[in-house]
Order: sequence, then C-alpha cells, then structure tokens
Amino acid sequence: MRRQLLIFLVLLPVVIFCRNYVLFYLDQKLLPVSVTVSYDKDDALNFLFDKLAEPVPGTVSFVPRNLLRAYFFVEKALVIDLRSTVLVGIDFQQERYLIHQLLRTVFENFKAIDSVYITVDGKRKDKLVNYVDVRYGFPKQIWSSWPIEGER
Amino acid sequence: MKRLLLFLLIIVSVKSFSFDLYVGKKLIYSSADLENIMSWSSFVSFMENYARMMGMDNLSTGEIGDFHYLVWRGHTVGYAMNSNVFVVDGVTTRSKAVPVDNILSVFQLPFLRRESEIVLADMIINKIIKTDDIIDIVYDGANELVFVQKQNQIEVVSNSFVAVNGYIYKPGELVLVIQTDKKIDQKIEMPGLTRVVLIKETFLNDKVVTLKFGEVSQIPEDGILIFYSDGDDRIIIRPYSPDFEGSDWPVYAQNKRIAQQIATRFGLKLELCPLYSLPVGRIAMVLLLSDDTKIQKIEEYLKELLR
Repeated sequence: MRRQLLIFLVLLPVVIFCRNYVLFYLDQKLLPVSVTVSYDKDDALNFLFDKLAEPVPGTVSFVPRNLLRAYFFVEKALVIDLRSTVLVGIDFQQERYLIHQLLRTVFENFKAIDSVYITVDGKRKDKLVNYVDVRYGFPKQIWSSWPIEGER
Repeated sequence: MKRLLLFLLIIVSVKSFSFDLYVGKKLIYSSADLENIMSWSSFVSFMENYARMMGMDNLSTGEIGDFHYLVWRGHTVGYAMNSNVFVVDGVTTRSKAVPVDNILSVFQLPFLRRESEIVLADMIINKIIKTDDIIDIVYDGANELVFVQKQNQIEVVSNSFVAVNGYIYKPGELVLVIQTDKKIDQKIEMPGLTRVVLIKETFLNDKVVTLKFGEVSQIPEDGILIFYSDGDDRIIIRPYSPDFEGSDWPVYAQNKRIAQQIATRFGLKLELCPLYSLPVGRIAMVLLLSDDTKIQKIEEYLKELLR
C-alpha cells in the first residue's frame, strides 16, 4: 500500500505538469497514424519537429531532421522557417506528405493558431521545394483533419 | 361546484399576475410577482447569464454599502435596498424591485412584450453584408436563421426570436429576401458569423483543357485545367487561403464539387494541397492515374458534367 502511494506521489507531478501532444506519422500505405507523446517544457514546436523526424516503429515520416530553422507567432498565425539543405532531393509525394504531416500536427496541438505561413532559409519563397506553393497562408480549417478524403 | 370555481379563480389569478421571462423559446425566469419586476439579485443573475449566452461583453457589478450597481454597455443601473431607491444612469426613482422592461430598453436589448411575458431575442443581427458571391451575417447569440432557396431569390427565415435593427422576428417570420440568380453552395459557421457562399449553377466556362503535369511551360488562359500524370489514383486541388479573406471560396467550392464528382465516379482519392502549378482563382486540378487511358473518359465525363 505504501509502495503504491509512493509510486502515485512520484507520478503525480509528471501527470500534472506534462502536456500531451499528438504527432502524425504515416503507415506503409501512407495513411495517417497519430501517436500521443508527453512533454513538459516550453519549446514544444522544436520538440514536435524532432519527434516527427523519428517515426515510431511501423510508421514512416517525411519530416527530415533539423528541418525547423526558426519560428514565431504573429497574433493567431504561426510562421515557421524551414532549412532548405535538408529538403534537397525530396520528390513530389514526399513534399506533399511532409506538408500534410507538419500542418496536421501543428493545428492539432496549437488550437489557438488559425493559419501557418512557411518561409525557407529566412525568406519568402514561391515553392517549398519543387511543387508545393508556400506564397500564401495555410488555413486551420483544411488541416484540422487529414486533407485527403478516404484517408482520415 | 363552488370548489371548482374557486380553484379556477386561483389558477386564473396566478396566471394573470405571474411574470415570465424568455430568451427565445426558453423560459429563463418565472415569478408570481405583479407586473414585470424582478428582485435585484435575480436581475443581476439573469443579465450575467444573458450576456454569456449571447457572447456579449461581460458586465461588472459592485456594491457601496447598501447600494448595489451594475455597469454594462456604457450604462449604470443601481439599487439601494433599504431605501428602495433605483438609479438608472444617475436618474433616481423609487421602486421596490427592478422594472425589467425599462432596464432592457436602457441597455438597448430588443424584446417583445406579450401580456405577462417578456421575450428577448436569442439572436441579434448586427450586420448583414452582401457581395456578389457571399452573404455575411454578423450576430450575437445563436444562429437561428434558415435559408430557403427559391427561384431567383433566397429567403432568410427566423427559426426563433431574431432581432434586426431593434425589431424582433418571431419563429417562421421572413427576415430578409435576397434577389439573386445564384444558388447556395455552402454555409460556413464561425463564432458570431454565418457566411453563405453563393454559386452560379451554370459554369461560366465549359472548355476543358488537359495537360501533362510537369511538362507545360505556358498555361492557356481559358478553360478548366486538368493536369494529369502517372500515380496512385487521386485528384489534387488547391485549398483556399486566409490571405484572400474569402474571395477564393466560391472557386474553391466549385472546384471541390467537380473534383468530388470525378473522384466518386472513377474511384479516386481527393487531396487538398496548394500545388504551385494550380493557378489561384481558377478551376484546376491534378489527376494522378494508375491507368493512362482513364484521362479520356474523365475528360468526356467532365464535359458532360458541365453541359
């Protein structure tokens, strides 16, 4: 009984202070797989990018390591600045699914954010790599669910 | 017989001298008091709940000795219990309780008076903005409007007690008629805003242009653009963006509807992704097909759809 109480007391702060975050990976058929993780520090976005680059067993991820260069919040928008060197060589499918994984994860975990803007190497660009248009903002309404019908 | 008569008299008198306060169709407060009066505490509690229900600014309350007051929307209402003095924006009257209808008027809250009942609106429309393709209705409270599509017009009907410019429309009453040859494509709900996107049923451009994805240097100016390539049977269309503040919604809605019809007919997945090759503000899609021969069938189907 005492031991159980001790374990409970040790775990209590972890339960109280840790926040749960949901990450979106992909299975072998590229269907979304959500995984919940806990994190208790402030820099949650860096943590989420790092975790997305380390898919859990049985999943894949198109988010490369060291992708996030910087980020800042402007009212209800989040601006994320990505590093182009780690995006070299990704194909059409990887570029789209990278965007879906990132935005789905961001909008799921930061409910107060309405839109996301993407810059590359600190500058506004037309395309993320070769295909995805990053000139305009990405709205929460589209990525608050998986943006591919039949794969939700 | 005498007993029955007495009973009926009691019922009638209670009914006659009761006071009921409704918000829309919901009874919020009822008492056997004469006239439309409430105790100060009931009144404050009601006002707090109403402001919360309607999503309006919070009111502030306080007390100085025996004097209790409430400040809301630039007006101050106060009540000194022992002396039965009632103060509205500095003007003093003697009253044992809160005269509800007077105070609602001070706060400019629209209401209906029906015998022993006061009915407050559960939707207060603040602004109606109509552009070619969008009707925006900005309101406080709950959305209690029903949009009825008729030939060459859209009727907006009240589903509860809806206030517009101080007038309250009862359930089933016609609030607004919008003359248009367009149809309702979708209704988008946001807190305090209903946005109705209109669409013209006949497509302005029925020309279909098919192009090989990734091999096009110049895009034709007219026609619905269909890019195609090898792939895993999916259609990709451009979603809308917050940068266009809703002006790209009609094209998005039309684009999505066409893409959904093609997807259903040919067993394709529909993906929303802003590809750079898909021009903004134009019906355009990328088809990734496992079978190249499908593109001709899709083109024929699309032409049939647009006819």
